Amino acid sequence: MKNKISLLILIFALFTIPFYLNSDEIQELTINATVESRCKIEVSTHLITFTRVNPDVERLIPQNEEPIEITVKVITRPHEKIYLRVQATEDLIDPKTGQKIDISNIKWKAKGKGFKRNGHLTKLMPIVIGSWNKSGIWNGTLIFYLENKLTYAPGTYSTVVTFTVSDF
Amino acid sequence: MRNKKLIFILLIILFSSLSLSHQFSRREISLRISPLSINFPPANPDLVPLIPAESQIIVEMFISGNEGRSWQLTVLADGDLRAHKGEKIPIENISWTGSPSPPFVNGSLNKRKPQLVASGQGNINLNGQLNFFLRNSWNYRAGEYSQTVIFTLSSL
Repeated sequence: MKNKISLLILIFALFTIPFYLNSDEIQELTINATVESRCKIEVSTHLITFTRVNPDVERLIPQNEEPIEITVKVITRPHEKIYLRVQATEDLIDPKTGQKIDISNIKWKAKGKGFKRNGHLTKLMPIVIGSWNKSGIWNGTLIFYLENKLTYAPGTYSTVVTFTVSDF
Repeated sequence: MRNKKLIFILLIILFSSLSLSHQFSRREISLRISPLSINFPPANPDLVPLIPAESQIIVEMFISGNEGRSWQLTVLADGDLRAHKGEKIPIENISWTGSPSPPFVNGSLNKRKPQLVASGQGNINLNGQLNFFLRNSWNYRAGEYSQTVIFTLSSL
């Protein structure tokens, strides 16, 4: 009798279990994304000027304009460091007279995370003014100062400086 | 003893016939998506704030024997997008748009709670399209990221 009951339960289960099976169907999707290392620099102005005053009164002449806003946007690889550098192409030159003011007489002060606090321009090699080892948008401000010296000949001087961002 | 045998046989016949009727109305459910992988190419976050996947996902769903019942298609991510060196991009930064709507809805991926992709009532035999997008950011680390998501079609 026990065998018959067991058989009955077994038959019942065999017929009914499929009906009560959970009705789910699944599919897998693989998602891939590539993020490339890249960088970008944004500078708020392309021109700054200095107006000379009496050297006895002011040793450092600040730029006439508001501080330059610099935004460095970087996507870095792990363990990669990004550098912001500045370099002058030439000394300050008066094209009419050919007189020069050594570019190292232009100093700078910076504020912002990752920016160096201060330094001076050079035409020999790019000078690091900031560095970051993490992806993100990094903002800072930069003010240039001209060292005021009695030795400068009167004139209108100009030069070009270049900002570069790179991973070396 | 004979009576018991008879009752036993009758019971078997009864259960078998009941079960057979169930078998005839048994639900059939199938889900197919293609392709089985999608890629997000690199892009400048300033120019492309939302990166579209390179291919569209086609979803084919079939359910029968589902009269008077509802169904739903959900998606659950196994985790965040991960690169080899442990970098992560939150999976919530991937969103999709679904069509036709209804039954498809728009949404964002999640690694904890299955997200509704489509839902309805009764039997279905329909195709839909899903377009996936990755929110771009300067905060991501460079790398090759990957993750698996699971689509589940359920008859409730």
